Amino acid sequence: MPPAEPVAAPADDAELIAAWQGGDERAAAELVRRHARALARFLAGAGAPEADLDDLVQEAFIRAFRAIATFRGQCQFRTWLLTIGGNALKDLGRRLARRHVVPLDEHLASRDGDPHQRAVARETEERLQRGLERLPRMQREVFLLRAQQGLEYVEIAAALDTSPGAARVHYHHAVKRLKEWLT
Amino acid sequence: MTDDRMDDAKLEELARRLGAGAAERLNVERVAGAVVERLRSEPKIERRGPSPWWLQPKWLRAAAIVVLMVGVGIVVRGWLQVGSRHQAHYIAEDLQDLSASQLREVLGTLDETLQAATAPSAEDDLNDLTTEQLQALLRSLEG
Repeated sequence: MPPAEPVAAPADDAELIAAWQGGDERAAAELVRRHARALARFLAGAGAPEADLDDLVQEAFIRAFRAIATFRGQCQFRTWLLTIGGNALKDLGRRLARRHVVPLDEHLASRDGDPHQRAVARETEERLQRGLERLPRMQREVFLLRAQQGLEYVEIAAALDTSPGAARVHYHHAVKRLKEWLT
Repeated sequence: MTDDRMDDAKLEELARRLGAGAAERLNVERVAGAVVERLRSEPKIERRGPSPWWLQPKWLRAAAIVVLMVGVGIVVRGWLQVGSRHQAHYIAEDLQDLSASQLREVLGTLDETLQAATAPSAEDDLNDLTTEQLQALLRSLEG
């Protein structure tokens, strides 16, 4: 199938969602283009193997589009999508009864500096990745939504059905534990 | 404190870089095409927008409460009707124990009761009396 053509005029997510609900497939494709990389980063950060990343991203979008009628704009579409991706990753983990250590993305490490510095940076990132996998799911997702995606606590709380205060507590617990493991 | 802030900043910087390479390698156009293809193969009904108002949870809850109340009402009413049927049932059982002569006596009593109920009222009789008869009646009542 040839790729769907991009929507001509820039539209916000709400307009694209409405267009999709009206049957416009290009709107759905545009939503995928707009949010797929952020979702992939979130999933990879949460421990998704890169080999499964493509399928997981697809699965998250399919679930989101299926459940689009339940999206009431309580948070941004992207934030809602990331939480759906988290659920898809959890289901994958159950299916695979995993979990091995996720091979760390080689591109993560800085290419600047000497080989020793790059090796140190890579090792730190690997430890962070393993630390994230050891965190309770809520702490891991709050940490990633905050630190990786740069979201506010109010937004995170709305997406994860908790309070901003609780989200802040989860974040600080996550940071505390990750710092202990990283040092 | 400064060290803590530096650590937090470093941690957040690391977190921002997590998955960046994998995300860059994702073929977004291919994913978009695959997603659209999968959506296309699904029933159209799943594309619908928000549910009609009567399918929203609050209205469904209200409808469930109404149905529950009506159901309870029907059950209670049924119980009450069963109670009155029991009374009739007990009377029928009593009559079954009676002999033929006793039944005739009961029926005779019922006839008298019915006749008494349909008999002319005392008011009607008084209207038929003459003045003298009324005076005599009053005197007799006075003793």
